[in-house]
Amino acid sequence: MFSTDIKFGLFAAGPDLVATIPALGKLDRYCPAYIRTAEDAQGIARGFARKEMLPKVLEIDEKCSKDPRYFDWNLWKKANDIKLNISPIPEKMGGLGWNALANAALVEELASVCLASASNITFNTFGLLGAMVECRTGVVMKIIHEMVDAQKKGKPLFWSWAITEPSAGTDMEDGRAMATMRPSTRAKKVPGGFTINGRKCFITNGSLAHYVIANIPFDMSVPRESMATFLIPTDTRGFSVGTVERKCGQKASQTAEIVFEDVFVPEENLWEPPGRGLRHTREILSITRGFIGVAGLGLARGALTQAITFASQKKIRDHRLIDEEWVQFIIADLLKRIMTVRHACYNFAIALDTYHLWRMFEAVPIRTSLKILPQNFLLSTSLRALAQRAIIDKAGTFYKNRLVTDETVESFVKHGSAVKVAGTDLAVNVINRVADIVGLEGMSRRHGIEKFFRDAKITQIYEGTNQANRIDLFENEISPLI
Amino acid sequence: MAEEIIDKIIDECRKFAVNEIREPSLRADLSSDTDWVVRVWEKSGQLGLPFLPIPEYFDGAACSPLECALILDLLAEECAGIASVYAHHFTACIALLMADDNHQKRFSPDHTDKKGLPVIFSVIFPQESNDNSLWCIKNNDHLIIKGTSQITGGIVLADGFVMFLNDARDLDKLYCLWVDRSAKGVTTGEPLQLPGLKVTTFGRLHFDDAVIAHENIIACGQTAPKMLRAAQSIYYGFIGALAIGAARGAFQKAMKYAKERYQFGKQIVQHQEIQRMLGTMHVNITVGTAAYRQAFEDQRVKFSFVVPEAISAKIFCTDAAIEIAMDAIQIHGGYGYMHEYGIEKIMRDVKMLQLLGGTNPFLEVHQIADNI
Repeated sequence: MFSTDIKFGLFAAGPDLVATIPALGKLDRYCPAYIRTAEDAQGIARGFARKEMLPKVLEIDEKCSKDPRYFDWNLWKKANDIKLNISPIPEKMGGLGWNALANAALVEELASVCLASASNITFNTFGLLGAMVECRTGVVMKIIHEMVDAQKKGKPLFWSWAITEPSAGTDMEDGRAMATMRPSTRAKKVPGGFTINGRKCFITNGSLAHYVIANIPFDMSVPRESMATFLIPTDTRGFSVGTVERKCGQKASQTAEIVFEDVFVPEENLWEPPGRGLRHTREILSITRGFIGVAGLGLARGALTQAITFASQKKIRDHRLIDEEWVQFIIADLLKRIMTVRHACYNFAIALDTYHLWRMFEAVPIRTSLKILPQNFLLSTSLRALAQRAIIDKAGTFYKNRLVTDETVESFVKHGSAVKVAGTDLAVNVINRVADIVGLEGMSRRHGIEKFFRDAKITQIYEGTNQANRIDLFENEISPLI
Repeated sequence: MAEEIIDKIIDECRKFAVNEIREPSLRADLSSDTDWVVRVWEKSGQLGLPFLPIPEYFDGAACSPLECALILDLLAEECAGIASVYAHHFTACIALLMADDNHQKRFSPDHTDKKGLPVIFSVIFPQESNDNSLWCIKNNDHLIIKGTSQITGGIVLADGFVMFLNDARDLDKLYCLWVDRSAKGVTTGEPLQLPGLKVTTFGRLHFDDAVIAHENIIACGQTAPKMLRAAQSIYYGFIGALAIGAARGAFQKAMKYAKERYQFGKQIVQHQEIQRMLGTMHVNITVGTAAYRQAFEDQRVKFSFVVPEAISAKIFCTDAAIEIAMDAIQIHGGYGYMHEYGIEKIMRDVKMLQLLGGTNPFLEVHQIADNI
């Protein structure tokens, strides 16, 4: 599928984060460890993408075309072996301790080969992300332990984030919209917990997940005021998987309908009480939207790499396709867009490290604990039990809310929306123009370019359609001023 | 042709497209089902669809290229893939109409394939690049061909091809040939595995010292270049019509969905941004229809067409169509990306139309470069 002759992007001679984003040089001078972590991450991700993903992605896509439930466990296992699926978990606790900048590099590199496979590997951080919104120490500790334990044993531990419903896509992500939505799910208080009924649709990993983080209202007539967030193990009675969708692209990532029939959820799995569910969603979006922008950037760069390779090899009379001036101008234009969006994406990642959730890992209590406590104690059941004691459990929430305020969240929804729209519009635009270079012959399956074309479109839709993202941008930035 | 007659033909073709093409096309797309194309071709033969451009004395409808384009437009509204098969066939037929009468015998009603189905034609244009070179040498009164052709549509289904290629010894000398798929030395290359127009099947023909007998040399000398220009112009015009047809299908689906889908407190068609998107689609479909009609206005079939106009129509219509198809998916949200809703198929089909006959930036450059 790809040639390794051209030292660009994925095939560059070595990690080149600072070389390609020169502003990082200033940070390199003052906090070299921060940049080293990110460049190491880029190098590891590139190596994995080249060696493990590249040879398989077309074959996986083909198999998923025939059977949407096909999953390549070998590829997942290889990612698991080097802990890519638990990258943000602190190193001493068994993860890679990768900050947002390093995770951005991971997402970009993996997405430059296959966005769907990248999603299969990195999506499971949703479990940690979901828990860190409320940041109850006991809950976070439990999830970290489970993830690390599963990784060590080589066992998959998949997560889904279930917000979309048949009649509510955008309506689940915006406050004004949620006030008027028509829910397809409902929660009800019962002794010891809650029961949930209804269905969610288009849920990534829905057919593979061991845990689902779901937003469900208690009162369908006032969905926004009654929206709550639940953690639901999928082996709970009454939970089932419906259709696994046949999609245009990103076939390796399973998108499923999930059904709740009197699913019982115990009290402790109510992550956000009624009225706080939207807040939970917004905080996750304030991080993940930017990362979707990074993924779009990765896809765009991968598509351009393939175009350059194809055009360098395609002969026209006495010269190559890439020697044609019209081709060079298209490539230059695409490069310009990729470079500028890339700066925006990495700026966003550094901002996450500076102001958002990753601050928790730098907070004095956390940093000190990680430094002085032995590893076996950090991963022990006794520490977990201690963390679940009310005062310590709540301390996490208190501390986190001081570091990451509602204003921070909405600010990052705004910035994330801009990056998301930029990165995903870039992906669609670049692949369309790449097709203009390579033509019908280049769009034959074996070159891998048509797969980028099929994969790109959905990025403008999920994580909030680009229209919904624009609404957020206007509401957050302009509405307060007028 | 009289307006009431063509209106009736259009009406019949529309009913055929809705009844025979609309529903099965999605399933056929999933498995690149060319057998389905054959079944539709056979049924459409009873309606006279494959014979639209063919003269009346061969029991055809004698439709003009513009009238054929209007019908391709409505076929593409249901499935651009199968419409593309007809487009390649019509282009070849109209090219043959420019040849001497004795070459038009291939239109005879007796000219069917082994199963008695009307023959499917396609057209092959000359090579642009030399990595898959194709050349011919004149030997007495026949030609010997060696090499690999340009990519064309209908490679698996077409019974014969109207092919244009240059003489190896004199590159300024152009021939127009009839190539029977079953002729000795002619083999079909592996079809390209494209993401759209899957049932058309695109690929190349391979020639291994294939002999083209004198009676299959349709034209050479001054006539062949005129036929080539005319055939290319018609081809580009047809692609424009296919693109607008597919785009119209996407627009209608998007309009219907927008009226039904409720989000943000109202039917999404009530939101101005959705209205803007639909409005832009409507503008481009209106202008695109005018563009491809304009490309066919001058119906002097036996003379050279104004090639730049037809190329411009192709470029405008296909560029507009891909934006329309993508916006139609966007309006549908997540549903637009799922195969069963039929929108993402339109995007994949239209993307291939955009690349047919050369990519649009390439055509933009060369329509100027070749005329200065």
